[in-house]
Amino acid sequence: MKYEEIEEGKELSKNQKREKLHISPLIVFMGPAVCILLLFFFIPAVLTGLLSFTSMDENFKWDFIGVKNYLSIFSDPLLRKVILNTLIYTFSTVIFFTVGLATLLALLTTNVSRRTGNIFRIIWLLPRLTPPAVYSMMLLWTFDTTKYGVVNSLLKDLFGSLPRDFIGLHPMVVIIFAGGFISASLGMLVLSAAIETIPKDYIVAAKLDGASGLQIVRRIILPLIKWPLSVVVTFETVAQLTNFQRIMLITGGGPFYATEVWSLYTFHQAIENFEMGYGGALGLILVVTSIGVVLIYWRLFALEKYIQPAKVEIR
Amino acid sequence: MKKMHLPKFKNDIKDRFKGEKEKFVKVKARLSRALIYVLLILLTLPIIWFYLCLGVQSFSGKTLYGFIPVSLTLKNWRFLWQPQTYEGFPNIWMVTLNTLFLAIGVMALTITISTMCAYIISRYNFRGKEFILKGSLIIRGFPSITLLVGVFYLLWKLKLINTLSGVILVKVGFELPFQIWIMKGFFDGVPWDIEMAALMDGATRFQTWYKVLLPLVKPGILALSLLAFLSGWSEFIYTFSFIFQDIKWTLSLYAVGLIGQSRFVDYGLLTAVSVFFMIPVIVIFSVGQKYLLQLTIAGTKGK
Repeated sequence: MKYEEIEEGKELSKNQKREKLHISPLIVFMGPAVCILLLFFFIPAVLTGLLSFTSMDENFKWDFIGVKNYLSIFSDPLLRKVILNTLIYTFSTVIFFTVGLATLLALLTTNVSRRTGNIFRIIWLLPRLTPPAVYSMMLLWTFDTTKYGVVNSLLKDLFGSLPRDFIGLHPMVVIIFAGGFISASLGMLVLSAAIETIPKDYIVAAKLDGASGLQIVRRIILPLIKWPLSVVVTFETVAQLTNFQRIMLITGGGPFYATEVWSLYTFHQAIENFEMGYGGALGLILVVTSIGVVLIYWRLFALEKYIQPAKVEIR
Repeated sequence: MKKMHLPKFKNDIKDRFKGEKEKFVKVKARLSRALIYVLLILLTLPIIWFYLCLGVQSFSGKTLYGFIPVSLTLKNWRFLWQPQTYEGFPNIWMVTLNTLFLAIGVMALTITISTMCAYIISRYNFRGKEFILKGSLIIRGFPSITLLVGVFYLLWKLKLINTLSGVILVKVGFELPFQIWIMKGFFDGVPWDIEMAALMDGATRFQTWYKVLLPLVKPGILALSLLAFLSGWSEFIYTFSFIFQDIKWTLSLYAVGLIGQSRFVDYGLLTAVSVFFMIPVIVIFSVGQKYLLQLTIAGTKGK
């Protein structure tokens, strides 16, 4: 690999010149990362693409069948349901939680004292750090249909009402809340960090000019956190499109495919039914979709303007 | 300052009016402050309530309203000293060891590789650097799980399927781009002069990296290690897809197995296992929250 030495400090020391002749540190330092990424990221990506043109199943045989998999996706009776579920799930979590709840929480935690704000932020970090298995188990327990479920036992103790099947009745609402809390937790952290970097003078000046709290939020804070907000929205949209662990554990896509989203459907086909060819095709469509989503957001939010060489501070 | 000569009564009115207004503003400010607190607490209540219920239930037989224990017991925790009680389930301690192996493996590999790679990306200009940086940002939002099919085939070909080392390698591959991206930021924050001085004094590149730079980016390494450890510890989807034998189970699979298998669900046991599973999370949480909050701040800045 070729490289031009050094950003700053134009004269090279003797040592560096000597080093340049020997093995380049570039290869030594970058080698492991490149190997791992090639082996476990790019090769699987290529393999998924290739597999989508085969009818591979548990025998691991390469039978190329052309675009048959893609054609059968379009005649899949579940296709409409799955697409609709995916859209509902993704956009409700992003709009209500990533944008709505996260912004609200960020505004609230930055308007109390720093200490209190941090305590609330840490509490909101908890769901995100909780292992998905535990998180899903807790939700199942919370909405359990028997009197042992948290909500049902509370309702029984308070009002003496009969146990209700929340997950069976509103499966979509439950998984939207489950995914939304995780998503809001990330959004809140990023946004509150962004709000804290806004110079206090702006807000003081606005207050002196007689702006109300809501006006300050709308005219000063929101425009200034547009960039982090759009980054979070972009990432979270893709994350919700592709993350199915919690849905799988809470409803398993049921009842009657009511919560079967695209990524979960891919998983069911590829890993559980061992239709690796068909699963590969579904996966590839998802990859293309999410890249498309990123590009659309890129245009929509004009993200280009903000991209600068990364510079991160140690605090 | 020149004294204003206003008629006395006018001044009086002004003062009184001013006092009223100030009072009004003060009350309003206090009200809105109270409103903020009420809203915050209401929004956060479900989370606090969930975790409170989880903790209380694991130590009690019956509860009132979910969080007031009626009777305290250690019965739910018996899986720790009677590992054979549950048929078809492996020994919890072996499962814990497996999970530790996975978490430490992921942590050690990602940190070593990402600090090396990030150092080069931060310090050198080479062809394709822009591409790597943008690429890693896109990969961060890339649906890693959709590659499951390809990874499954690859692991099978490499004879790494149904092994924890296979899961570690896959996990490292998916964690790396993000870790490199963040780590590069930490290296960017170290002034060039320090390194230059070391190089002038005759240190090699490797020595400079190891002895001079690494100590300087310690906060970053610490925060990323915690995150990598946690992500390995709570990994579910790869172990679920690539591990078939119960002697290689991790705690995630154990917990999920409990939900799936217990026909008459024993929530006391489930909550106890969950709390056990969450011990490292809680420890890291209380020790490392300072670093974790710092990381999210550092991670979003200057993009």
